[in-house]
Amino acid sequence: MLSCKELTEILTEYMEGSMPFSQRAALRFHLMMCEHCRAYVRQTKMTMKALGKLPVEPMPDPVKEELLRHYRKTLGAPRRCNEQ
Amino acid sequence: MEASSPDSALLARLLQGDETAFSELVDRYGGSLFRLARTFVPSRAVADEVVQEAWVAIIAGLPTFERRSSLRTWIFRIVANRAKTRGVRERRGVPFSAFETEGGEPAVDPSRFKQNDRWGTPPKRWDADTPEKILSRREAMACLETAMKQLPMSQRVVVTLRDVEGLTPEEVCSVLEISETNQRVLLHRARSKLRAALEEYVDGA
Repeated sequence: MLSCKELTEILTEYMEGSMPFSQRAALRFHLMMCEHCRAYVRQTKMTMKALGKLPVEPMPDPVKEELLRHYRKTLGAPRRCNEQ
Repeated sequence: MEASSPDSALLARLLQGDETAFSELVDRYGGSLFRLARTFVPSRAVADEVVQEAWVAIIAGLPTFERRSSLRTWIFRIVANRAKTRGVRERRGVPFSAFETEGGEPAVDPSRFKQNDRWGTPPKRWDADTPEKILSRREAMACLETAMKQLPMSQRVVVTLRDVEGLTPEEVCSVLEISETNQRVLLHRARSKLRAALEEYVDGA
């Protein structure tokens, strides 16, 4: 029978879907029986969700302007013929 | 490859010299690329330099981009490669094998398990409204950011690409040129530590 400690070690493999069927079934069975591991999985999922909400700093405008100038110079007008 | 379809329309416009398209590209990825560079290098100033050089390389490479990967993967890989090289140079101590996954680190402090490997000090059940509470608290997010900084570089990079940026496992392997197993092991260690940090914060709050 899968132990709680083992479950915490193979959780990512399970969530990545890269686990053989029998092991997968054992893990699901363990989760059905063990509320502590369910709490652990929930905390892990919550952590992943929180990571997805970390704020991102937009690029500063002057840097963007400079890149835009560089793009214009390299790929911009006069418009190139496009093969497609 | 869902992510590649809006990108492929954008790519066509980029190649025609469409400045609005370029502006969209910068808005879509500018912040993310800086964040990625920052995971490799020790200072903002260096990350800024890496990202600017990478953008110049992206612009130069667009006409010959071969579409063997999605535009997003290609762009992230350019930044990752430059940041990795620069990070190694800046830190000097980081070995080339930084993306190898030798040595075991337990996901959970072993003292929390009983002799039979079942929970002795189990995680507390977070209330139904805990997720929202966490996400709305600046200190909780700050705690996660601090915990991120304490991760080894390779773990930080992988978890940033996967959980912060939302790349697929295949994309991360392609961006970092690492195996699927390495990707998974690094992700596992990172997520385990970040969960522990958040748990400590929530239980202590």
